[in-house]
Amino acid sequence: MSLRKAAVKTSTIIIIALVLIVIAAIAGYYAGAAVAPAAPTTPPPKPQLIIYHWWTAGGEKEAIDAVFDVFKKANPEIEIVENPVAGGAGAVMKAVIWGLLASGTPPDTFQVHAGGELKEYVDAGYLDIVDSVWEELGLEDVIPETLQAMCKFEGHYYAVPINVHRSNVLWYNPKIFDELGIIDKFGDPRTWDLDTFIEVARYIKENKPDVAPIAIASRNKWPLTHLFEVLLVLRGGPEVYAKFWTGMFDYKNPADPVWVAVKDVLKALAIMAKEGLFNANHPELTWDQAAALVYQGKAAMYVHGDWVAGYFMSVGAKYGEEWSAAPFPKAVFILLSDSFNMPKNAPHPDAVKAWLKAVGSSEGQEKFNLIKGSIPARVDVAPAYPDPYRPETADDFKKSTLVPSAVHGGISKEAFVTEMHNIVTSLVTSAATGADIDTLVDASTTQIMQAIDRTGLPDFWKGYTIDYFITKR
Amino acid sequence: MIASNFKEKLIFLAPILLITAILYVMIATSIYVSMSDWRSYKISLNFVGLRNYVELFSNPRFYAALRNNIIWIALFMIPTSFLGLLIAYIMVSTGKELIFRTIFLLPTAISMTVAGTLWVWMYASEGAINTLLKIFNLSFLTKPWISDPSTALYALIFVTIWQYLGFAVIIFEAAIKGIDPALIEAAQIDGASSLRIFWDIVVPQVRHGFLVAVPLLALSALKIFDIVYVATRGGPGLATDVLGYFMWETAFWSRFMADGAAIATIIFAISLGIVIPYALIALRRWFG
Repeated sequence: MSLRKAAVKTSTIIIIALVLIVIAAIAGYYAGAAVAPAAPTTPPPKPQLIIYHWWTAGGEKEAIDAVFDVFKKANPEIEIVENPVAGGAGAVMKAVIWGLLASGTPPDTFQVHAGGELKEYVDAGYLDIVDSVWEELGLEDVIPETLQAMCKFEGHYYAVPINVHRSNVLWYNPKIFDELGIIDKFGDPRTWDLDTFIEVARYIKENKPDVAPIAIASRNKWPLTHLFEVLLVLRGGPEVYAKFWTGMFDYKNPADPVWVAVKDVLKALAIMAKEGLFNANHPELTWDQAAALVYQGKAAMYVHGDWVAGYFMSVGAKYGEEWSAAPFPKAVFILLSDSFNMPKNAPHPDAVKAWLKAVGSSEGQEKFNLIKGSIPARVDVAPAYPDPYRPETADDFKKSTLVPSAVHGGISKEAFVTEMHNIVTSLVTSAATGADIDTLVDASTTQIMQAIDRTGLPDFWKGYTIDYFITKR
Repeated sequence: MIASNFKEKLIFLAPILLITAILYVMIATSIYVSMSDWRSYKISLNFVGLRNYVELFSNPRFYAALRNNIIWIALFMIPTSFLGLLIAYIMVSTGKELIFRTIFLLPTAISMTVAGTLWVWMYASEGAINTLLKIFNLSFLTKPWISDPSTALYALIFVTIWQYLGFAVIIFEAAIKGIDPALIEAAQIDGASSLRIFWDIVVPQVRHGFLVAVPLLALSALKIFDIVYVATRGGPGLATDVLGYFMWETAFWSRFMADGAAIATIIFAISLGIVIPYALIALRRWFG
């Protein structure tokens, strides 16, 4: 074959190959679009519920499966298309959902924390009103006001909550407490204030030097901010707490009473870090590893949410011997709640409404929460808890003052909470290396002021007052 | 066969031109987003000029992260390339290529995420490294490698050196094999020691290996994200914060997409500062 003919033949092959590749790409795109949640213009062949959540771990998965069973009984013809996205307490799932919502191909429903996290989706105009579900199930009568407020914006409901976790709990090792007579000397943890907490920690350090008085975990940063939020409610009370996390105070004025309380808490954290009252290896630990220190007797106390109970039970730690729990403080209940919503232009709106009814139903809430380790969002549902901890929580949910958690998407804007993670962990880290505490606290306060500005915190809750978030009892 | 006319040249280049076009369109979009007001779930592309950059440059965290990246580039690039050269030389001169290649390529084959997780466990206060030190009666050397803000960054840099060593070894192995054997034989006949040969013949002859390795390693150090995310989330505090992590947190945690894009554009601009000189030198070298 001559050189010219060979050149022509080869270039023809290349052209054909390129055309085939382009055709394959286009075909693949449409095939992919058919598998992904379809836009409303292409009606699906069979009724489905396309749902996204992040409950992939042991215990969580069984819990959501129980709700699926309740749903399937009432709606046997609807196929559940589950998209569990593991990782990062929802960080990965949120990124996926963001893409789906922004591109106009929303799923039918997805898991979201009630409160500020939900509001970000509502503000972006992605979610539909679910007032009809609340009315049908009469949820306003059985869900306390704070939790209603966390699902309600501009007078309309945008989500149905399924559970409630408590953020402010003190987990402690009963053997260490008994040995040192902590409760006799300092009283029940339910009644401690911030100074007592530090005193107890110092006492434990003096008398049991190889036990870390307070366990913390800062590898993923947020558990430390979690401690901050609990101590802020302890020192400042619910109003100061709500003002701080919503930016509804005179934040440019360093003498504002909110700053006084915040500085006290920052100072307490710095003192605890400097005096070695924390476990030194906290930057290596995740929240469950810090919890493990308590039941293993390597740490005396841990301030964290009540998913720790689920963790303790899953590793077979013995209540009363290896671990015990006390609401901290008892008078205030910092709550967080997982909920489900209905995006606008959801592919199967009837399936979503049916799902939200299952989520809000007594049966669904009872079965889910028994397994999950939380309590129902509805106060009229009382599962037979096998553990000794939850009956008190359920009772407190009806009787204590309620405020939403900040670290878990309740009362604050996530951008601000993210900055707080960095500020609080930097404070604790620097204090442990021996820096001057007052300088550190002042520096952190300045950083928080800048963060409030930079993240636009006060604008986020414009039009709301702090009474909206607090159920005073 | 030779693609002599323009049409045929175009056909051959079409795929790469298409991909490059898409890439640059995306970079341009990203730069536009960095000058927009997109700071929520809702896409918002109103032009705001350089406001986001002004805010970024007045944020102390930016400078702290940049400083960490610069330290990372310096402490990662130089040891990795020199060690890579040294190991490649030993490998080629002893001829035990299979063993060396296996040992040094294994870390490179592991994903950064896996490497990060493994090393966090090894660096733990009661992890493998401290335990080994105690066994050998070197307890005074034990440190909370990851928990101490003054050592955490260097601990992570070491992990990246460990990982990229195989990459450097491969590059320099090829470079060394390209040396004219007559040069080395002549030196050996003259009685030169291995060290002499290494310093005076091998190192000058593999300059082009450095030309390849150094920019690529520098770019890797600039783009570091996964190991920081997996091991420390930029902690303790912000001791291991890098531009890549700062960008991800800003864009995807805080949902300040425009500001995240601004950080990404800065990373891109800095990498141009590495790539453009490299390209100029390489082009001059190859095309005279």
